[in-house]
Amino acid sequence: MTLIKQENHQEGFPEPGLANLTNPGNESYEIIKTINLTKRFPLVLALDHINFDLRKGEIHALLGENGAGKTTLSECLYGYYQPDEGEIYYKGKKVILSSPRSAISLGIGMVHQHFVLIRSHSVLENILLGTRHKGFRIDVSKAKSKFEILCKDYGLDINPDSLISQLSVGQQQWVEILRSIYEGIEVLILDEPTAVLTPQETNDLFQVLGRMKNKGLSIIFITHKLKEVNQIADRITILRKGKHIVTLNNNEISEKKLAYMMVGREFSIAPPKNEFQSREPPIVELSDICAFNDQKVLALNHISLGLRPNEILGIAGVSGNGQKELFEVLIGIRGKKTGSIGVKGKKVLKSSPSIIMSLGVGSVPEDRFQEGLIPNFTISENLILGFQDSPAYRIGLFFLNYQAIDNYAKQCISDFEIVANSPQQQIQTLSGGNIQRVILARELSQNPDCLIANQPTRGLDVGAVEYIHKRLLELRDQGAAILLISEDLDEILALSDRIAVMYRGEILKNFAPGEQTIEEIGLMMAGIRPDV
Amino acid sequence: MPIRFEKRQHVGRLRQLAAIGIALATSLLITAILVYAAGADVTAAFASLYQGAIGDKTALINTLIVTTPILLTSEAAVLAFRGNIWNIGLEGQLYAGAMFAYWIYASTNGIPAGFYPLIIILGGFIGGGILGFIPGILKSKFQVDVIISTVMLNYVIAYFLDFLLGSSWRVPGSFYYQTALIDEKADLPLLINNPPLHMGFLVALIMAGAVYIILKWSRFGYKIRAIGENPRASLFKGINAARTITIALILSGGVAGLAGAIELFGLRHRLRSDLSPGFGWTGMMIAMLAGRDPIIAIPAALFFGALENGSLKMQITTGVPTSLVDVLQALVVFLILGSQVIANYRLRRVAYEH
Repeated sequence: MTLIKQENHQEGFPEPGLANLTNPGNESYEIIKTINLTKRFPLVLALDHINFDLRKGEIHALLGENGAGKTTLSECLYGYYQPDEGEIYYKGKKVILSSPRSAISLGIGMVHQHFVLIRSHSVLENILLGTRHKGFRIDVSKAKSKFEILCKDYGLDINPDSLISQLSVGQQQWVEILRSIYEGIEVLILDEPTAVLTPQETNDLFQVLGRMKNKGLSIIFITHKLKEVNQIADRITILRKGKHIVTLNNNEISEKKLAYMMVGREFSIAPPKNEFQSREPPIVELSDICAFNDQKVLALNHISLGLRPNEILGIAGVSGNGQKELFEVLIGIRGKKTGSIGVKGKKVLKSSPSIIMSLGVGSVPEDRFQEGLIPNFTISENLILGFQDSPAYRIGLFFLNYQAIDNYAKQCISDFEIVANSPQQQIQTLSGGNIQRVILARELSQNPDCLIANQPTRGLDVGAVEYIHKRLLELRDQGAAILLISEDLDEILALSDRIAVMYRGEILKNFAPGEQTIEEIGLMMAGIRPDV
Repeated sequence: MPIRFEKRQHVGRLRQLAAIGIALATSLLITAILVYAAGADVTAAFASLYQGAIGDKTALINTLIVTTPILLTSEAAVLAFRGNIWNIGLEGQLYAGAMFAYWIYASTNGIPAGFYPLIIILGGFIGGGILGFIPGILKSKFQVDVIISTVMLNYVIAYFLDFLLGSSWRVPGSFYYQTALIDEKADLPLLINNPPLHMGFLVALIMAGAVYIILKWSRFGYKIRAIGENPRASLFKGINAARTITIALILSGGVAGLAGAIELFGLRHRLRSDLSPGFGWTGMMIAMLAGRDPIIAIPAALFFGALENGSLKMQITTGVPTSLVDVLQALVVFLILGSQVIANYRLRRVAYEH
C-alpha cells in the first residue's frame, strides 16, 4: 500500500518567490545544502566530503547501515556536531550551526529515536517546555488554541491536557513532532522514527508526514528499512561508511539494487526456514507467571509459554509491554509473584542466573553494553564472563588460565568471524556487530539447550543481522529451543516457527506464522484482541 | 569567538603523563608560594625537604619506614576500590589489626621468639579482616551501604580501643592511656641493622605484588573487577556479588590490619590511640592517585612517604611547619586527579552564526 503518491517537488512548494530570490533559475529550491561536509572522529572518518541537498517540500530519505553516517550527518545539520570541513547552506546562505539552539532558531528541528518528554506532565506542558517565551507569564489558553489548530491541520487527535504517560508510543512521537512544528520549523529531521511503532502506527505517521510535506515542510527521514523508503520518500540518499554513494528519485531502481548499494554486496534478505512444527516436550516451560516491573506495577500477567526443542518462538510486540520483564524472569534476575519455571521437566525452585545458566540456558540481553558485557574488559575476559569458574579456564583452585582462555578466544574469533586484532583487544573498541558476535560466541560455545535472546539484532548493520540470524537458525536446527524477543516484526516473521504477541504483560495469541496476516498481528500489537 | 569544552574520544599516554607533570609542577609552585608567604626561604625549605627525604642513607631508610603503613593501606584501598567497593573504614581496620595482634601477643606469653613475626602478621590480618567482614555481611544480607557501615566502624573501634586502654590494657600506674612497652623479643625482625629497617616494608611490597596477582590473575580478582566495571552485566551472568564483596572487604580489611600490626610491632612498640595519624585516609588518597593500580601505588606511596619524612627536617632547619607537606600532598592529589579529567577534554573555539 502506497500512501504517499509521488509528487512533483514544485507542487508542495508554497513560497515560489523566496525560491526565486535565493536561487533564481532553479525550480527546486534547495533549503539545505552541504558542500564537502566532513566529520572525523578518532580513528573514524564519519562523514567523508558529503554533498547533500534537501529541497523545499520533499521527503528525503537518508538510507544506510548502522555506522554509515546518517545520524552524524543529521546531527551536523542540527548543530549538535560541528563539521571539521565543508560548508552548510541554509536557504542559500552559509551558516555555522554551533548548537541545536541555533539550528532551531533557523527553523531546523529534529526528533530523536528516544523521546525527551516528561511523562508526568501534560501534552501542552511538554510542548511549552521546549519553546522560548517572552515575559514571565505563559498564555496557556492561547498556546492551547494554537496547539489545537496544529492538530486539526494535520488530522491528529491529541488531547492537550492528557498526560504523556497516558499516550501510546505512537502518540508520544506525534507530540515530539508537534513540539518541533509548534516552534515554527521548516525542516524536520526524523531519526529512525518507525523503530518503535506498530505497522498501523507507521502508516498513520506516513500520512501525517505526507500532509506536512504538502504544507511545505521539508523532511529528512533517516532509516535503514528499504520498504519504508519506497513507501514515503521523494528522493533517497544512500550513505555507506561515511561516503555519499548516490542520490536518486524514489522508484528509480529496485529494492534489491538499493539494498546492494546500501551494503555494498549481495545478501539474502530472507533466510531459510524450518518447515516442521516441534512436538517434543518443552525444554523450558513457564506456567502462569506474574511479575512486577521496577515501578512495582504488574508487568507480566499470567504468562504461560513452552520453549520446545528445534523451535524458535518469536515474541512480537511494541517495546515496554513486558518483554524486558519476561527476559529477566527467565534468566533468573527478576523475582516472580506467581507461577513457576520448569527446565527439562523439573521445576526450578530457587531461580538465580547461575542456576538457570547451569541448566543449559544461554541468554543474549537487550542492552549489549550495560547487560551483556564489560566494556573495559578484553575480548578474552568477556568471553568467559559467567563461565570464569569453569575448570577449562582454571589453574588450580584460584587462578585463571589465561593461555587457555586466549586460545579459546582465538577459536571464537575465527569461528564467529569477529573482526579484531587480538584476544587482548578491549571489547569497547569493536563495532556493534562484532560485539554482538562476541556475546553470541560466549553463549553458543556452551552448547546451550535453550537460548533466550532479547533484541539480538537491534542497531546492527545488515551484514551482522544476517549473520546472527544464520547462527540462531543453526542453533535451532541443532535442536535448541530459542525464545526470540524482538520489536522488529519482520525479524519475528522471518525467523519464528511460532509467534506470540505480547501486549501489556499478556500473551494475546500464540500461533504459527501464516495463521495471521500482518494486519492482524499489528492490531494485536496495538492491544486489539483477536476474535476467537 | 566563544570557547567550549569537548570530550576527547581518545587520550594518548603521552598526554596523560604531561598532564601529571604539569599537575606536579603546579602543586610545587603553589606550595612554594605558601612557603614564601610564610616568610621562609623557599630554596632552603625545598632543599631540606629533599635532604630529609632521600638525602642520605638514613633519610632513605626512614622514608621506607614511613612509607610502609601507607603503602599497605593504599593496597587495601586498591583491592576494594577496584570493585567499586568504597571501603572507607581502613583506619578502623588498621587499629583492629594492631589490637588483635597485640591481644594475641599479650595472651601468649612465653612462646618461642620465632613465632612472633607470624603472630604479628596473622594477627594483624585477621583483626583487620574481622572488621572488614562486618560491613561485608551487612551489605550482602541487609543491603547496608558499605560507605556508611565502614566509616561508622571507625568510631566503634576507636572508642573500643579507648575503653581497653583505659581499663585492662592500661599499663599499671601510668598516667597515660597506653599499653606497656612491647617485649623486645616480639619486635618485628630487622632487614638492615644500621640504620634499622624492620621487615614491614618488605611485607608491604609483597602485599602489593599479591594484590596485583589477585586482581590480574585470580578468579576472585576477575569477579571483583567485573563487579566494579559493570555490576549489571555481572548480575546477568550470575556472578555472586554478595560473596565477592564480602571476601573483598575481608581481604582489604586484612591488608589494612597488617599496616596497624606492623606499625605497632615494628616502630611504636606501644599501643596508643594515636598509632595512626590517618594512614587509612592517606592510603585512599594514594590509591586514587595511582588510578587504583596496585603497582603504580608503590611509587605513589613512596612519594608521599618521602614528603612526610622530609618534612621533619624542613621544619627543623627552616621552621616551615610539617603540616605544609599535608597541603602539598592534598594539592598533588587534587591537581593530578583534576588533570586526568581535564586531559579528557579539549578546548574548542566555536563561532556563532547570524
